[in-house]
Amino acid sequence: MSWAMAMIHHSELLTDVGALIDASWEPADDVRLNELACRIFEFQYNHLPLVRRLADQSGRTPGTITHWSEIPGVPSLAFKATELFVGERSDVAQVFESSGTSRAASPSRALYSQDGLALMAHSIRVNAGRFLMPDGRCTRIFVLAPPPAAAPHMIMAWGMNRLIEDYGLEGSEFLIGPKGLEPGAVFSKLSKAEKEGVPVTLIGASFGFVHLLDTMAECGQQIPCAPGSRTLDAGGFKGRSRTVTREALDQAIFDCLAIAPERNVNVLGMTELASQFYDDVMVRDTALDRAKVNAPWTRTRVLDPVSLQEVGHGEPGLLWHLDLTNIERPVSLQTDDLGVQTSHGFQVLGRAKGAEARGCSLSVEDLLA
Amino acid sequence: VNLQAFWLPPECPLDLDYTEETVERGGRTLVVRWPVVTSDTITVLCEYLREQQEKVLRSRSVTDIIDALDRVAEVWLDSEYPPRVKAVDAISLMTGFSKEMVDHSIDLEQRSSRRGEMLAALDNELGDHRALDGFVERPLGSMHAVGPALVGGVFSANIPALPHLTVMRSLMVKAACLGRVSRGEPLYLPLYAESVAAVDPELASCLGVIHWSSDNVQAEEAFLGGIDHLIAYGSEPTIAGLRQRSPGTLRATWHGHRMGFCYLTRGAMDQEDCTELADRVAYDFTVFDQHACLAPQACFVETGGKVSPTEFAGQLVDAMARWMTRLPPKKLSLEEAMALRSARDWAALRVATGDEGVELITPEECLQGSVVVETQEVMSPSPPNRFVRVVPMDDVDSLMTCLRPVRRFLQCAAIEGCPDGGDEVQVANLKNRLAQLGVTRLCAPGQMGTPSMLWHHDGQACLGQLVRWCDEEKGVGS
Repeated sequence: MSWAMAMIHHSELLTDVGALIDASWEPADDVRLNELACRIFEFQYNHLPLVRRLADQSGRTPGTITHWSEIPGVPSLAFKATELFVGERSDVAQVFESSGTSRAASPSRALYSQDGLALMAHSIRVNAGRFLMPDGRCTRIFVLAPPPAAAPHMIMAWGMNRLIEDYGLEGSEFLIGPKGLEPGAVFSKLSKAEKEGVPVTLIGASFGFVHLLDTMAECGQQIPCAPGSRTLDAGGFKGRSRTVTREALDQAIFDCLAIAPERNVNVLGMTELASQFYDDVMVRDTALDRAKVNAPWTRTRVLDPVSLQEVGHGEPGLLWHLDLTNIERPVSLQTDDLGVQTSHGFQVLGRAKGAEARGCSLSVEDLLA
Repeated sequence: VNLQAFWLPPECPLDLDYTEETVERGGRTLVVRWPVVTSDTITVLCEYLREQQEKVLRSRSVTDIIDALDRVAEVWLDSEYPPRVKAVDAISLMTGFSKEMVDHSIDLEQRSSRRGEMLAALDNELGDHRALDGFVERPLGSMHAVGPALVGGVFSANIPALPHLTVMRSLMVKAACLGRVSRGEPLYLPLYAESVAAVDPELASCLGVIHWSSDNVQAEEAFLGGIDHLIAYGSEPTIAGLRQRSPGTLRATWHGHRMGFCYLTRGAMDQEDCTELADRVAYDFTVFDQHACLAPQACFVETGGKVSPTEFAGQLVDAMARWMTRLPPKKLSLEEAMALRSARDWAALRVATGDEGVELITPEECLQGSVVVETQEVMSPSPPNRFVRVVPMDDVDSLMTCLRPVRRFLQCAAIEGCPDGGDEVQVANLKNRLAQLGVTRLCAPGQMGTPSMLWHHDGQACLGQLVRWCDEEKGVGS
């Protein structure tokens, strides 16, 4: 297939995935998702040599599969091993890198074209609108991260900036500057919003919240945020020396900021994927049975690591995601994250211990550390 | 089935409370009784065992003790011995190892726990086992070896049915022994102690088996302060933690993380038929499901022989599959399965990204028994559970470069040369260089999991380290 033809396919896929993102959430259109997923897989089979080779190795190719769940998951390791991008290198507008949880691990790299970035922005807007802003309310957004200009490779900063652009009131900003997080400045900004009666959305990495809340507790700071405020914490505590339970984090947020648990949304975002997975607590208006729910253009399965077959509800396994906004990068991802399927979504249990010790020479450094 | 994660001598003045834990696997259930332990428990136990050592062990001859241990090994070698049947069932349930593997482990361990081996091991390290009973004549005078009063053992769970080795080594030098069994496999040692009690109650009164949870610092402190010599098995963090918390005066023997490998010379690969060799190598990767410190983590194959590394890997696939039937694999925990999946995927990715040094030999869904061919610049730790890495190697110089960064972890090397001894000089050179590098045991493929009791485990005189010598020069008392 000529590259011109490929570009036509690419732009058709962009249009069709965009339309799916704008389509109604209920009922979920599984037929349309499936048709698109198979087309994207075929496109990637033709234009991403790694996807083709892995598909050939596993015997599951565009000609042999009929359902999205049969698309071979590309291990997240692949994003460390090589650059995965369907287009020409000159089409790359942005490269994101993961920080890596281990000193010795090389970062994951995800490449985006301008069109890819636009599709990611679209996905973020609709997804966050559903799970973080279901009340349709705009808030002042404070982000416990450096701004994209200071962290150009950090996909989280890029995504959070989108949230400010789409949903932030005036005064929204990134709170980590060249000197790091300055608690005094954070407190005064939160207090100001409180006094003005402006609801805030506080966004950051989960461990960033813990640091901030620890500092607030130490300083005896309590800032009851205006009604309508909420938090969004990303990731969890994998690879951190200190782990905090969800309940403890919710309690601390309530104690320091007067934000109720059902307004604390956790999100799973990965450098490898353009879409994220949000907790459904705000949509359901309860923090009970917190779970992540797929948007209509994503799917998540929990797999047995040996057979790579789906495990039953409630059984732990590795998380496998399908994300149709990953048109330029592998559409299906087999992760190192452990999770479990629940009645209305999935929960993340953490990262498999030893998954970084993955048989490359790097793990020797870990051994010698 | 109810089993205790502890064992105390019947006369010991301790009455332990316990908590029950129900373990389930494949529809079968096991109730494990964990002792409730305080630092006082440990202190009382240490005192009691010291007294028994003085009362019982000092006056018994070493051959007498060894005869009793030999009888215990004999009863354990009977496959229908009820405690053994119980142990096989319960350990399999608790650890996920197949019953066949646990059964096989007990055979291997007990076969090397016989009278002849024990005496030979003592003679090997002390010169003469009778030195433990009194002064024996030596060229420059006479000498007497005195063991410690109380040895403390800290055990790991990676090999079923191994902790009794420490108990034997202690008793062989007339020391009482207090063992701390692991969270993962606490069941075998109490059953073993029970059979020592059945064969020789007096000897068993010098044994204690206990467990405390790893966050019970007071219990550990009482233990480390109450023993004379520590023999500890465990991961790097476990060993480092124990080292840090041990009193400076405590003598200790450490058995931490180790790596083994096979090396097959060009001469070995020049045979028309390597299936028998593949079968032995596959056995080494199979036994204890590759959890032992002795287990191979790579099979280095010299290039240029009639059989290429890739062809040999193909033969290993069949051999691994045969062993999967004979000794069925462990039921994997999620973490173990993820580690294998990760290693397998990494190889698959190297193939898919066009790395010519890598070939995948087994299909995707086959994780236990996987065989991959891959080049390595530095020997990489392999996940356990029958993951075979065949690493092509040009020559011994390249091997040394590959091993040097991990030299402090090296332990056992299985070497196969030309069957008619055609590369004898090369093999002799290889053996010397490996010994210099840090390898502490050389054997033939197929023997990695079955060291003799004579082996200087991790390069140490395990019995010799336990004793203190009293040398008598000529003319004393004359």
